[in-house]
Amino acid sequence: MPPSQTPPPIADAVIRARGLAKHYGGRHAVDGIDFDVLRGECFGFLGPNGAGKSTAMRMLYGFTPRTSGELAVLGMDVARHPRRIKARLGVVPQENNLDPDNTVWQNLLIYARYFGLSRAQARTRAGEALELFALTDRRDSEIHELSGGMKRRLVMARALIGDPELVLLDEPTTGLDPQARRVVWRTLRELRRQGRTLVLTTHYLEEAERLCDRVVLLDHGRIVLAGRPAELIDRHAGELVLEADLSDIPGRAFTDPLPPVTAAAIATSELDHAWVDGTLTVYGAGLQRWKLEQLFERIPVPDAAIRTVRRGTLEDVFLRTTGHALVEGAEA
Amino acid sequence: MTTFETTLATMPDAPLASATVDASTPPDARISLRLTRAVWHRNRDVFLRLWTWLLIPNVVDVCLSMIALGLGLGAVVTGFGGAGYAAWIAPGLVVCSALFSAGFECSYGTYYRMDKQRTFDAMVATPVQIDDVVLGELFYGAFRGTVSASVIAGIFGAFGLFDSWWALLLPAICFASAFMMSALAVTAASVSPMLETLGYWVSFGIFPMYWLSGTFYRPDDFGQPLDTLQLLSPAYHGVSLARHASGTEGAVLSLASLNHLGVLVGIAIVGTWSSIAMMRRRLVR
Repeated sequence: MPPSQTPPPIADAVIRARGLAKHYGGRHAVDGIDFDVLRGECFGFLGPNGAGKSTAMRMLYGFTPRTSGELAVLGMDVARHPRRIKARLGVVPQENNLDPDNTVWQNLLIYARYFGLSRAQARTRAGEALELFALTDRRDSEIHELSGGMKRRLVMARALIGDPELVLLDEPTTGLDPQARRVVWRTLRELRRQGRTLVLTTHYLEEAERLCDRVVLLDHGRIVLAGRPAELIDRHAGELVLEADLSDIPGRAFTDPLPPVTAAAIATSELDHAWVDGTLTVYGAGLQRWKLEQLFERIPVPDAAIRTVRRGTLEDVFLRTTGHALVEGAEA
Repeated sequence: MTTFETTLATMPDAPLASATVDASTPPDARISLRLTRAVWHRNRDVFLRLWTWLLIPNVVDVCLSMIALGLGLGAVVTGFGGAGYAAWIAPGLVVCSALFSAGFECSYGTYYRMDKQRTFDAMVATPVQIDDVVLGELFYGAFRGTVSASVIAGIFGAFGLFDSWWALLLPAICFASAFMMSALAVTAASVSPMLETLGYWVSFGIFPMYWLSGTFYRPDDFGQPLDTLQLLSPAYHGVSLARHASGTEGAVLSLASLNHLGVLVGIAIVGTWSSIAMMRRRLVR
């Protein structure tokens, strides 16, 4: 194991889950997962819709009771001490459940009461949170007057009212435009600088690559892969990836098999590949760049195919590991 | 590709974060009165913000009922004692106004907060637990019912419709009745699959209770089976109690009062239990 994989020796496990499972009748939403989240890190749950990310997230703050397994958050059992745990947590749920009956400012003050803050404390914290998320001038706005990005930021500001050690974010940037997404990323980095531990779910792989120290890939309720994003990419996709999109070639259907000459060339080259939705992806993991380019050159694809050589991403890692795309309809 | 590095998800060498409690510490309390109050407080804040919209229609409705029935119908109805029909129906209208406010607030209002606004989800992501949310809703329903009923009682009192100083107990009676009604309403909301299906609660819950509450007639004159049926109307007990207090019939300090109060409290306890249990069933998933 290279030194970079050694966990920081001082950090303690803020979350420890062993054999954690949630079953709904016969459906295993979370199917026995083990993971630790260390203090101060940003930990990401990745996976397609329905992989169990949100269920896992809801279990972390006791909203969804577990079917079996162990789960300690901040050293306490979630089933026994949910109030004590939640007093030190900030939760950013998937949907913006801001209180539309109240203004921005009141949303924060009312939330502060649930954490037992005094009025003075609540005002101070609310002011700071609005400042951090650049919402100070919207203090007296009604919720329906805010844009999508502002609402998302307000939900995050609200999550900070209790000065949490651990912040859980369920798809913090889903539905945001690129600019709003960047604002969220910036504030998440700021939260880390403040020493808070972050756990987030996302199906934006770029987000995970940028923000997370470690990620786990969930598929059908199970962890299929875990590690640091850069290392996962190196090992499972490679620096470079060849992509050939055959789906737009006239006369071909999405479901058609790989052309035989292409398939044969790949087989002899011993390169790893995936063939999904009319797109061929060839991974260069473990190979040097010049060698790869040489090998890629030798793979014949129809002239009409759109051929690209690009950097490997977590998306490739997921595709290669599970054999299906992370986001339905997303370009691999 | 069958084995993956899933072990990197765990960090067995890292010590577990030190807890503020140890294993022998009893579990967190199921109910927190402080947080129940915080939930109530949230609703009260909204009430204070919107009170003209929430309160005035209630008061106007009941005053119109009094004009149409107490004065209009009362002019031709006899046999309700010296103070007449208006004084007879006054305590019932007061209690029923509390029941209506609470019965609607804790069905449509609660459902809306729960399902559309997702306010409950936001609350339980904090130290608040579902039990606190439900109790907070019940106390708010009781509060809202008491406020509007008290305003109405004040108006009726100013017109001399009450014959006893015991009528000052009306807000307390309204509080008990409205709390009971809130508990039933939250139970109805918790089992309602859609906002629209709460119409059943209105048609088969609120209105039967209202008509069979004994507000508009002399309950003792009923024959069977209506006599039994009205005993089943939780509103009947609140209205009877209010009638004792307002001096139209019976005495406050009587076994009958105690009986009615007992039934109210009993239904309130069962309703509170069922509203918490059903809400847990609905929301914990």
